[in-house]
Amino acid sequence: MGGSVTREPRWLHGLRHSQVWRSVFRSGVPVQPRERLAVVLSNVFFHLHPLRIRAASLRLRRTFCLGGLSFMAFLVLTVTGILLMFHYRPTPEHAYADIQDLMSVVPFGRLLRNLHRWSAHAMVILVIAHMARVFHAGAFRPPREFNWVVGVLLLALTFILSFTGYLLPWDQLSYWAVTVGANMAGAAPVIGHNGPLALVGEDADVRALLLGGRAVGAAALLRFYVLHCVLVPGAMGLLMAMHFFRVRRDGGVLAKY
Amino acid sequence: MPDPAHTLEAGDPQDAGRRRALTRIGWTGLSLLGLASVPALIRFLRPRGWRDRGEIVELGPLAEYRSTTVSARWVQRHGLWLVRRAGRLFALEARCTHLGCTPRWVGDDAGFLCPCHGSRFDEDGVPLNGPATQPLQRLGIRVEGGEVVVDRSLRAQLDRAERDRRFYVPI
Repeated sequence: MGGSVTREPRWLHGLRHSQVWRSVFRSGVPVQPRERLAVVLSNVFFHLHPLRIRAASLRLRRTFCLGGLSFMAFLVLTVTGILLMFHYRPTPEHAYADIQDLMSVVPFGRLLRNLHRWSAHAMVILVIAHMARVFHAGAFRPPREFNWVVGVLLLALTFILSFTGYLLPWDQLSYWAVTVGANMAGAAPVIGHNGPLALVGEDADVRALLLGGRAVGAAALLRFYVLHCVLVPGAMGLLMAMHFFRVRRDGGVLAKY
Repeated sequence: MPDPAHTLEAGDPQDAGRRRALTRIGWTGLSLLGLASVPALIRFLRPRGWRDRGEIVELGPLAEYRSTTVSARWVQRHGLWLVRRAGRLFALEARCTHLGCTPRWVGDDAGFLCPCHGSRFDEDGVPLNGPATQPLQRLGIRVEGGEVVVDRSLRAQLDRAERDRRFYVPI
C-alpha cells in the first residue's frame, strides 16, 4: 500500500475536491484496516460482504465457486433478458417472428439470445451442483438449516424460470413442452383437477390459473412472460439477498456443524 | 437507557392496555384482509371467457361421414375425430394417452402421430408404438334424426367401447 507517493494530476485533484465528488464520497480513500472495515459495513453495495475472509475459505476446492457462479449466471441472464425484452412481444402474432428477427436481423440479437439460453442452461446445472456441494458439507444441519431451505426455494424458482422461459419462443417445441408441463401441474395433488384429492374443478385448478385457459394460448404466453420477467426474478432477488446474508451470519463457507 | 416517559408501556396503564388492544385489532384486521384476498386473487387469475365446452355436440348428418375413414373436421373445435371402420362410426378423443398432447392424423400408413414424443395410434386408436401404452379414449356417440351426436361425458376404453352400443353407430 502507499509506498511511493505519486503526485496527483491537477484535474484529478480538482475533481476530488469538488462539491460533487465529496457529496458522493464523504471520506477519502480508505487506507487503514479500520477504515476499510467501515466501508464494508456502511457501503450499500458492500454490506453483504464479510468483514474478513479466512484464507482457507478462498481455496477453490472448498466451494468450487458454485454459488457465486450461479449468481453470475443470474446476472448475465438479467442483463441479456432485459435487452431481449426490447425486441420481444409476448403475443401469438408476434412472439415467434420477433425471435426470428432477433436471430437474423437485429444486430447482436443472436449473440444476446444465445447468451441468455446458454446461461440459463448453465444456471440450472450450477445451482444443482451447488446444492450437491453444500449437501456434502452438511449445510442442512443447524445452524445453517434455514439457509438450506432458502436455497431449496431458490432451486425451485430456478426451475420455474427455466420452465416459463421455455414457452416464450412460441415454437412447436415450447408449445408442446408447456402443454405437457401444464398437464403435469393439473395432475398435482389437491391443487390440480386431475390429481388425487382434487379440491377444485378444471376451470380453477393450478393448470387453469397458469394457462389462463383450457389450452396453451395467448393468455398462457402473457402469463408466462409476466412470471418469467417480473414475478419470479423479483422473488429470487429477495431470496438471494437473504441467502447471501445468511451465509455470512451463519459463519461463512467454513461453518462447522 | 430509554427515557421511561417515551416507552410504549409508559403513562396510564389503561393507555397501554388500549394500545395493545389496538395493535392486536390492527394485526387481526390485516391478517383477515390478507386471508380474504387469497380467494379473490384466485378468482382474479381464473381464465377469462371460460365456456363449458358442452358435453353434447352435434356434428352434422351421418351421411357426411360415409366417404372418409378418419374425419379431422372437429379436432380444433371439439377435440375429437370421427372414424369409420368395418361398418361402424365411432368418436376418438384427440388426446394422447401418454401426456395429453394433441396427435395429428397423418394418413393411413402412419395413423395418428403425437408431436410430443412420437407415439402413433392406428384408426382404432390402438398404439402402434410408444411411449403411449393405452389406446385413445372413445366417446359416446348416437344418431338423432340423421344427425351425429357425440356425448363427451361418456368415455370408455377400446375393449369396452367395442362391445357397448353407446360408443358406436352403424354406418
